[in-house]
Amino acid sequence: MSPDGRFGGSATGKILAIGTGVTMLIAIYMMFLYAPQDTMQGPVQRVFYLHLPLAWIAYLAFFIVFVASIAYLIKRNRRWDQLARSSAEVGLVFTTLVIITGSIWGRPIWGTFWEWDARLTTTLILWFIYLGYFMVRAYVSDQERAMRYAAVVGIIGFIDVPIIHMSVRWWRTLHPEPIVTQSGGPAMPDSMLYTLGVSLVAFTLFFGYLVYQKLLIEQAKDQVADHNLAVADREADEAREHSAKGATA
Amino acid sequence: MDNETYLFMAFGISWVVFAVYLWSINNQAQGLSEEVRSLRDQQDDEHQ
Repeated sequence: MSPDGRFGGSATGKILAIGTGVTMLIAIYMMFLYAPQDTMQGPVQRVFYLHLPLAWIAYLAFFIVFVASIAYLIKRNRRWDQLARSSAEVGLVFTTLVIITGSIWGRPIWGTFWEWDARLTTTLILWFIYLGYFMVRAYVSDQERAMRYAAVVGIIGFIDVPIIHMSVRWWRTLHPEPIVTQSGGPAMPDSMLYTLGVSLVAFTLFFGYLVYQKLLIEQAKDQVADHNLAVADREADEAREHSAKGATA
Repeated sequence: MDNETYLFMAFGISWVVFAVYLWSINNQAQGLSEEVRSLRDQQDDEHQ
């Protein structure tokens, strides 16, 4: 937050916002006009350039929650908790969209919006874990304890991420195996690969921008809460002093 | 529904969700800015 109390005006915020805007426009152009149409799936295959970056960001967001939660438990510095909760909130939005875009893509290709398949189910479990992460924060009244419990959920919850990633290899699923990170190189033309690369950069910058803004908000919220607590303490002290004076008089 | 409708549905829903989320972040930031500013004014008054 800037000294006059405004958000997003810092150089970091501006660089991330401009970077996101520029790369996102290039990514959209490439997704719809540069990348060739898939001969098997038709136009709906272009959802791939949205769905895969969203999934990558969901992993990244919860990796940040995982690291920040460990750092918080070790150092007990509230800044790590602020980073974890900012990343978790943005991660929850991206995970929601991974599930929605995956379902929409699945309908014309698999003939169904939803299947209790390993990849889809483990992703839904991740969504519920991070919903639980916020429920812990909301329902534990003692702030310090809420931060501690949420950190534990953030660490344990991350175990689901490698399970999601490996699910298509460990179990027989409707969801295809990775075609970019497979052994022997990506199974797609260069133009599709470049489009995916630009889209990944655009969404990563967008994620950075959202987490940065959210972090500023969380820091300001904590400052306001600290101030209100200090005022309440001072008022309580004054009231006690006042009543003590009254008693001696 | 044809294949293209699903494509635009996926992109449309995603952009709407992002727009709503950005709007909510902006609203939160605006509310907090006002709160922080009023607290600063209050502190300045107390010092004077």
